[in-house]
Amino acid sequence: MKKEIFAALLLALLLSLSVVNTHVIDSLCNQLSQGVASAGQAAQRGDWEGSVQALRETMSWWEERETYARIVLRHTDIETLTDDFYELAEHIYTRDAGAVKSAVELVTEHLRGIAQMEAINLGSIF
Amino acid sequence: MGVSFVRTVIVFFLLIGSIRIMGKRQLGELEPLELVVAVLISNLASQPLQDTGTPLIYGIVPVLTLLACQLLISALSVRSPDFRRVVSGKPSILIDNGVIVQSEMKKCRLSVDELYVELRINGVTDISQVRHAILETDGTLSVLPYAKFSPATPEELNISAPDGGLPVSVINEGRVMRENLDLLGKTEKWLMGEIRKRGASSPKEVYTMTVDSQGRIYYAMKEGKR
Repeated sequence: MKKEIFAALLLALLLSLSVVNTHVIDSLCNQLSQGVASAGQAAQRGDWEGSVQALRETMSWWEERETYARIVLRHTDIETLTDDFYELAEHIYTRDAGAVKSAVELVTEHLRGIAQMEAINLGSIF
Repeated sequence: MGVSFVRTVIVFFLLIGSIRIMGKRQLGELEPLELVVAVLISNLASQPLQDTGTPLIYGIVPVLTLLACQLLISALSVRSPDFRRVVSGKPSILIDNGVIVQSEMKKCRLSVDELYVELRINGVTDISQVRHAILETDGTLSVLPYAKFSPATPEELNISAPDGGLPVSVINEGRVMRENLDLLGKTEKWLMGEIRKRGASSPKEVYTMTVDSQGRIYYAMKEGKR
């Protein structure tokens, strides 16, 4: 009986951790998207200092959570995302508003893809 | 992580269902549940090992999921014969009272030639000697010959055949197994006396030596020490 209880608890634990992880990744992606979007909006207003500040905060927030992300996400996704961030930073520093807009869209799209891949739904399972 | 968990559960049950439909011939001496776990675990575990860009959790979650599913299903199988029949199937009687049950052969997708092969593997060359042949749930064939073709037992022959008991290893590749000597109630002095009688001067010269509860000894010296 002990083994059965252990197995049932293990299944329940794995399911709970999976659900929690899905929410964590979803909120992480949302938070990053918002940070990137505010950096982009500041750039569109011509507030380049504000844009740099917003991006810096977003990137440092991301770096704090990178270890967790490396445990649960494919490393190629993380590396692509980091590259996208650096590309966005480059456009902000060179004050190219058009390139900033498309870089923000690229990062947002990538984050949406990561969140979708981790979400438990028919599309991601099959 | 969540996707890996759900995918593993789906593939696990899908494979069990598929293997049950494929029939016992595919099993190769494993129950369907054992076969599925054996096939999946090795592949799942190897993927994060080969690709360092894949987090280890992508291997750990499916392996733990399989472990939990396997434990639950095997426990349910022990408790409920009906459930066990669903997961593992039931044995098929291929020869019943000397008659080949063709409908069962067809159901198991087994040809007569394959039946002959299985019988020969079981040491039977004449099918008329077989009273029952049963294809077990793990794909092995159990053959029960008619009594007149079964080997006679010492009891039937009225011969006394003392049980030898379980032989215990006392020397294993030159090493003295002291725990086993204690178990037999023997001493190293006794052991030295026995190996000297057989021409060795030290246990290091002995490849293996076993003793059963009747005191019968099997002894083999290392090659080149004779």
